[in-house]
Parts: sequence; structure tokens; C-alpha cells
Amino acid sequence: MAMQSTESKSRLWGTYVAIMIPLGVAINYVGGLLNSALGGPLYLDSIGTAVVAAVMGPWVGAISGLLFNIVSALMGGNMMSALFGICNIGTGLIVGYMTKWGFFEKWWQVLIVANVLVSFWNAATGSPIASVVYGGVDGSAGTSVSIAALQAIGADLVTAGFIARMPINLIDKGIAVLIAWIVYKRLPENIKNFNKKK
Amino acid sequence: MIQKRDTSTLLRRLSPGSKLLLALAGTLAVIFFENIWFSIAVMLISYAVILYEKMGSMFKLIFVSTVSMFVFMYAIYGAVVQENQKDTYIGTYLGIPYYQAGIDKATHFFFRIAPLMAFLFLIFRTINMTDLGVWMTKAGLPYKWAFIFTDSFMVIPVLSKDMEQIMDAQRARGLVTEGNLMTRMKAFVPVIVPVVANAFAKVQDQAIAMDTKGFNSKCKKTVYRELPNTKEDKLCKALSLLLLVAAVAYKVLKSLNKI
Repeated sequence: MAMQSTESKSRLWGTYVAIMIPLGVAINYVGGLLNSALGGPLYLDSIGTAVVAAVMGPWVGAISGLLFNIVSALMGGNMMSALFGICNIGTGLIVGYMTKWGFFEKWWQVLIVANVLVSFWNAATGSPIASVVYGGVDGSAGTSVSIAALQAIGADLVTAGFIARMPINLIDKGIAVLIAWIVYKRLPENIKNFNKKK
Repeated sequence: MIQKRDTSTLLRRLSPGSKLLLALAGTLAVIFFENIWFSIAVMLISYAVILYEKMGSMFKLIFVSTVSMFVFMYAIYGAVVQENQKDTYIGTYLGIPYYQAGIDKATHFFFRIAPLMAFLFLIFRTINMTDLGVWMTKAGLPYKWAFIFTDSFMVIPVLSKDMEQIMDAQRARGLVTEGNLMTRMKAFVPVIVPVVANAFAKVQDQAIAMDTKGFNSKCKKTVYRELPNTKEDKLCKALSLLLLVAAVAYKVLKSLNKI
């Protein structure tokens, strides 16, 4: 693939953004779809956000994540679930800034630092959002049963939601950031350079 | 990508503006009225139209998640209530005590979400995305924003098809996608990585193609496509506005304790 000049790259920036944001949305959607097709218990719908954030930067990743939740809420008919876009915004910002600052290079940076930060953010914001949208129980078997068990032993709804979501998020977001990292590493330098610290 | 206009049914003939207004009115009506019978009516009418529009197979996944949400919400909320609500005990099922307060909570959430899942699915799956892009541009939204929004809906089926092809190819190479949970989850990475990598491989060519067609040009974009504004559209907009006003008025009066 031919290297692009800095001038051409900067001129094409807007076009790349216009292509990458919908691509991130579609990858998230397809990730979720594939997970359902395989009958997996996870969500796996933030791979696109993480890849786009790594390649195009934190804010483009964040917009892609937010737009995914809006599009998926419209397609799935659950408008209130668009609020989960707040979780995806955080995923985009964390992965995007880590890449920009050179902390998305080694596997341990991805699996330990990025995964823990992204999972913590998603569990911390996802729990109150789920209690607003669904009253806490969102229909996914693992989380719902764990929340019920924690509530039965006295935990309040938001705390139970956080505790139940954290281990699931560690696996779910771990897979998402790891796949984002594998794809990011395989991309040509001229595309990766969009998000390098100037 | 230009999407061909389908005018085979009344719903598909409506313009994006009419459908968006209908979607807004329907959503606010379900949320503000908080009436179980209204919600059930919206849900049943939507299911009937989905079948009439032959969208049953597309809706299958959403229907399954609706059923699973119903089961979990009623099973869990019905059994887990606060201490001061335990006097609403209604009976024991499979050894678990159930309470009316929990059932009411499940009803509140389920009948706010489930009807809209069917209703909005119907509206957005029958919108012509090219028409929606034109409508958004004509409504004053910057062209790039309208492109990003509508393109998001259009890339999904393309990438889904890629995923199916890659999954078939990997199966032909011996990838096992059925069996226990670990086996199924192991199949995820060999399918998703090529899907994402293939999509990114096309990005550079796509950017150059779009640039060649003037995507980045600074001049004002014009569109050739005319949006229809038929009698059906006018009727739909009028009814939607009526519903919207009724829903907002009901909510305001209720919050002022006038109802």
C-alpha cells in the first residue's frame, strides 16, 4: 500500500472519519451478532469502538461508540438503551488516549491496563444506567441471576449491578481490546499514524 | 450507496420525515401514558404489521430477547422485593415466594420497553436510508453528519454478509462453531479478526474513491432525489402530532396532579 503524504493525509482526514465511524458501528454490531449466533453469554459489542479509537483517536472512537448505541437502540427498538452509549464513550476515550500516548503496544498493557480501566468504567456506568432502563435486570442470564443473588443477600441494586458486571466485563472487554490490538498491529503504518502523538 | 425505493406497502411508501415523527410520537406515548393496555395494543399491532411486512425472520432475534427479558424480569423482580413490600406476598412458585410489588415493577419496566422494541424495529427497518440522508440534509444537517449516520445503517448488512461468508469459510476449514460454551467462544476470534481486518483493508481505497467523487469539496452539496409528500404522509404527520400533543399534555397534567 502506497504511503500517503502528510498533506494528502490531512486532506483525507475528514473522509477517513466519515468512513471509520460507521465502520466502528458496524463492527460493534457484527461482534454482538456473532456472539448471539454462537450462543455466547457475553456482549462483545465494543470491538469496533476500540479499533476505531486506536486507529483514529479517542474522540472519533468515542463518537463511533455513542453512535453504535444510538443505531442499535433504533434498530432494536429499545430507545432507552442508547444511554449505554456513555459506557462506549469511555471505552473509546481510554483506548484512544492509551494508543496516543504509546500505551497500547505490548500485550500486557492491553490485557492488564486497558482491560481493567475499560471494564471498571463499563461496570461503574453500566450499572446505574441498567437500573434506569430496565430496573437492574436486563434479560442477560448471567448478570440477571448474579444481581438477584446479590440483592437477596442485601446489596442495593446499583452495587449488585456493579459487582455482577465487573467479572463479565473483564472477560468481555478483555476480548474486545485484545482483538482491537491484534487488528491494530496488523494495519499499515500510514493508517496507524492518524492517532500518533504529534 | 443508493438504496432503491420500495413502495410495495403503505408503511414503506411513507417518507422518512413522517416515520420519524411517528416514531417520536409512539415512543413518548408509550413512556408518558404508562398504560398497560395502550402498550399491549402498540405491541400487538406492531407484531401484526411485522408479520404482514414479512419481516418475521429479521425480528426473530429481538423477539427472543423480548421473551428472555419477560422471563427474567418477572422471575427476579417478582421474587426480590424490599422488606417493607413483603406484605404483598401472592404465592409460591417452584419454591420461590412471589410478591405483587415485584410483579408491578416488572410490568412497569417490561411494558415500557417491549412494545417499543417491536414498534421502532418496524419503523427503522422500513426507512429507506438514502431518503433518510436526503431528508436530513434538507432539514439542515451538515452533509457529512447525515452521511455518517445513514452509512452506519448501510454498512451493517454488508459486514454481516462478510461475517457469514467468513464463518462458512472457516467452518469448511474445520472450525467448530457448535458444542459446549468454550468450543463456541473459541470460534469467535477466528471469525471476527478476518472480518475486521478485511473491512480495514478496504478503507484506504474507499477514502480515495470518495475523495475523487468530491466528498471533501467545500461547495454546497445538492441532491437530485425528491422526497414524496403524499396524502398518506400528511395524514400520518397529522395523527402523529395529535398523539404527540396528547402524550405530552397527559404527562404535564399528571405531574401537576390534574389527572
